[in-house]
Formats: sequence, structure tokens, C-alpha cells
Amino acid sequence: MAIKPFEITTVYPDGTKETRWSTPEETAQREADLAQFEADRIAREQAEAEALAKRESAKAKLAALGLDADEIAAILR
Amino acid sequence: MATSGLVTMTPSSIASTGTGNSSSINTNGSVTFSSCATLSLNGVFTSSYDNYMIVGRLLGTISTGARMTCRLTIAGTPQTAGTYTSQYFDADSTTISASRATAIGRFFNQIQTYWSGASVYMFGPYLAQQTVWRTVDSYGRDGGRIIDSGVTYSDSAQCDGISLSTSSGEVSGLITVYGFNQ
Repeated sequence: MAIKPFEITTVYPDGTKETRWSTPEETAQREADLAQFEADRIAREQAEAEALAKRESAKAKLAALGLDADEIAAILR
Repeated sequence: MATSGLVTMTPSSIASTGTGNSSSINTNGSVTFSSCATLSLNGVFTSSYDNYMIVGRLLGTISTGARMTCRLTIAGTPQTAGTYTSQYFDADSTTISASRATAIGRFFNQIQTYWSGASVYMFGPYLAQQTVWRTVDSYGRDGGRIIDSGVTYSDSAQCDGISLSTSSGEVSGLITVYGFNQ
């Protein structure tokens, strides 16, 4: 999603403030950053979901071998 | 004999963005900020010190969590000539997960609608060498969950500041940069 130019406020130690609009480069960089954040979030959530599914699969197989819930929990701890 | 210890680095300026954002440099050199999507601290790394500690306490606006990533800056300009690579691990009760990402310099790893705290150790940002940093975060949910990250920036430019950017929402809090007088 394209984002619009945004205001950047600069503050100095004496309290002086300056406000300007972002340059096209700064706007494009922020847009790229947000796209990267979203891609990273999706990849991380997919990896976590796959890991959880494997864990549940492993628990089911251990139960099929005759381990009880406490024994499975001890192994997976 | 020179005294060892932490020396507060007062920014030469700060810059922020975000709807309704505000930020200020306090008389003791710390920075108070509110509703910021990005926050830059300029002129906090100098030739006086090699290594730095950055301490923050943070409150976000996204209940599912956001994070702040970092680019090193020179005179306020974010540096992208090199590659940022982040290694990350998350210990959540008995579940531990980890990942590595390029193009991202993880800085504050978990910002939610609960206050969080983090310390970042940054090594050599103003030296003509790769910069590395390490973050340890904890936050007021999930009972002591640990999120830890290490980052490298491959370029050897001498950088005097940082530009922090939220992945989602806005962040408020307090941040202070200290130089290690070693």
C-alpha cells in the first residue's frame, strides 16, 4: 500500500523545533520498511505454526506408543 | 586517573514522525517521546567512546505486538550501504523459537500495550568497522518471556546516530544513550 508523505519534526536540545515533509526517498523507504515488516511477520508466524503442528504430531505419535500425558510432557520439556 | 563508567550522550537533535507525535530532549540527556512511528537520535556516538548502552522503556499501541528496528545514521541520514542481519530467539515458557533475517536490524523486539523494557549494547558504531549490537527485552505480559537478538551491520562507515522505526502503530516512552568510559 502506497503511503503519503509524512511530517518529520526535529527537536534540538534548546527546545527549538523544525517540521518538514518527508522527501520522496524517505517516503519510499518507510513504505519498503512496512512491507518488509509484514513479510517478516508472515514468515515468522508460518514458521511458528509449522513448529506447533510438528509438536502436536509428535505428541500424538508418542501417545500411540503408549506414553501418558505426563511422560510426553517430560520428554518435550 | 580517568573514571570508568557510563556517560550520558545528549543527542545533538532528535527527529520523529507519527500521528500526533511529540518528542523532547530532557535536561539530563534522555529523550521522552510519544506516539512515534519513527524516532531518530542524532549525534549520540562520537570518537570519545567505542561502545554504548541504550536503555528504553516503551509502550505501544498494538495489542498483538510490534517492534522497533534500527538503522545507523550519519548526520540524520539512515545508512543502507551495508547489510543488516538479525538473529533472534524467543523463550516463551517451554517453547523456544529462533530465526535469522536480513535487511532488518532488530532493536526493541516486543512493544505492546504493556510497558516493556530493553537494554541494547552497541559496539563500535563510530569506529571504522562493522557495528554489532545485542538487545535483551522483557515486557509486562506472559510472565518473564525473554526475547533476545543480535545484529550486525556490515558496512564500516562511522555512524553518529540511530533511526528507529516501528513495524506497526506508534510507541511512547523514554530512551537514553550512554557511552562506556572504559
